[in-house]
Formats: sequence, C-alpha cells, structure tokens
Amino acid sequence: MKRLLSRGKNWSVITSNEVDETTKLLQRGADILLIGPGASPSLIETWHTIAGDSNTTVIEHYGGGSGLLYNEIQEYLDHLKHS
Amino acid sequence: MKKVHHPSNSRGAANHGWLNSHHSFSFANYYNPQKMNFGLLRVLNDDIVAPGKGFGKHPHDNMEIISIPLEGNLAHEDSMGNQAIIKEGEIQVMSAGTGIFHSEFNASSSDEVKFLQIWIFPNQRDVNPRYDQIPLPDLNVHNTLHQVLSPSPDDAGVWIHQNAWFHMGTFDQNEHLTYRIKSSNNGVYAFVLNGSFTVEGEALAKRDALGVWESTEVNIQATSPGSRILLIDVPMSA
Repeated sequence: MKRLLSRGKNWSVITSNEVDETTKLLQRGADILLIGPGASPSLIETWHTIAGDSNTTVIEHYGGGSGLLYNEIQEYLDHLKHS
Repeated sequence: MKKVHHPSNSRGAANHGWLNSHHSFSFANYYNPQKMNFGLLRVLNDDIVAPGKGFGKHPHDNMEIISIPLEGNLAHEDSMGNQAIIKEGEIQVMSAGTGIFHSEFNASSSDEVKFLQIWIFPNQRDVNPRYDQIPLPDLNVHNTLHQVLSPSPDDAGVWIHQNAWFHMGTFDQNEHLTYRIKSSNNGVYAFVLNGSFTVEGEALAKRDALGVWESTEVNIQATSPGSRILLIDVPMSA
C-alpha cells in the first residue's frame, strides 16, 4: 500500500499497524489517516477517536483492491479544494 | 427519466503493455470526478491482457467482483483453493467479503484475452468470501435478453450480495425490446459490446454506454446485425 500511494505522488506515506505508534504519528501531524481493509469494527472506532483528537481526516479504504486507493484520496483532496 | 451518455472514447485509457484497459469509471490513475460510479456500480473495466500475462495475487475485501470473458480464457486462482479456467461464454463471480486473495491470468500463451471486470458495492459487509463460475449456453439464442446475474441463488445466472441484475443479448438489426427496471431505486447501465443500438433515443456504437434511471423501463433497438448488449441493473443508492 505504501508503495502504491507513494508512486508518482507528492505524498508522504507512513504505515502503521499499532495503536500506540499511530497515536504518536498523528500527534506529530498528518492530513489523512487511511484505514486499510480488514480492520475490525472496534479497531476502526479506535482509529476514528485517535484521529478526531488530532483533527486528522479519516478515509476508510472500502476495499476492492488497489484500484480505488488513489481515487478515494483524490476525492477527499477535491473536496478540500472546493470547501 | 434521467440519462447519462458515456461515449466509448470518454473512458479512461491505460496501456501498460501487458494490459490495455479502458475504464468506464475512475479507477487506478484515471480520476474523473464526473465519472466515479453509476449508482452502486463502481468499476467497469474493459481489459485486454497479453498472452501468458495477468494480474498477480492481490487482495480484495467487501466488493462483489464479476468477470465476463469476451474473447479467450482466463486462469483463476484464489485463497479459497479454487483453480479454474473461465472461458468465453461463461461468467465468474466473487464476493470478497471479509477478504480474499486471487490472481487472474491469460490462460493462453499465444492469444490475447478480452474480458470485462465489474465491481459492485455489496449490500452487506464482511460476508463469507465465495466464488462461482457458470456457463451461459443460452447466450447463443438471439433476439432475447438472458439473465446472467441476480441477487438470488435460486434465480438464473450467478448471484451477488446486492439488488442487481445483469442481462446480455445478441440482436438482429431492427429488433426492438423493452427492458423493465427491477426496482424504483434502480437504474440501468446499457453497455454495447458489439454492433450498435438506439437506447432511449440515443445512438450507441461499440463500447458506448447509456445510464438510465428514474424510469420504469428502457427501450432498446438494435441498429446493426448481430449487435450485442450488456444491461447492468443496479441500485442508484445504498
């Protein structure tokens, strides 16, 4: 996922599987928290709480493989541009 | 009635050498905010894969994935232990649900495979992953629509976790049909596979499409011999 998101884009991508590590990363500042496929509902809720505390936008990657990854983020960036 | 016309040449194009793909909706590096989906139909990719090449093992979850070979054969493998060849005249379906890995390769070392890859958002998350493929022998009977997908395991064709129906048919020139949309919340995406049609007054050539919604039916007429069409009847909202 990191490779796909970094390819050809001016995006800085950090991946994490751990709650503590993610919390520290968000405290340092991030625009988007992208939740990958396969996370449990309780873990998703935790990510939302942590991101809310640091004003980070959460995007839940719907799944379906890498074909939609770039689109999901670009949709959010377009929304930012027009808001 | 509302309509949206998608000419063939308005699709996103990506030629990776081994894969020549046309995307009806935004996909991978093709991004057009005006073409994100038609209702719950999210992906309609028209793929040509070089001999012996293909999509290596990769994950999916929570998506209904349908493949329809148009020419040639696909070799399928997945994390549920399925190994199969899907031939022209067959349809393959996967409910990714909680998660699957799969690969799809051109089964031929000498000929291209051409197939449609269609993704539809499911009406339930985290279902048990499942795989199926079936032959579609009735497609050889012309001048009628054949149901190839539905929401019911007991109905004709394969089934998915969504209130969606697919029909395919080949028609002689000037043959007319009226397709009744299955639900008031549904629309139909009519995609021309071969030849030409008039759909609700719009002239469509090969790989053109017309989406129709807020209507109870769609009027279709073949305008060239042996014209073939795919109708995708999907909810316009979850």
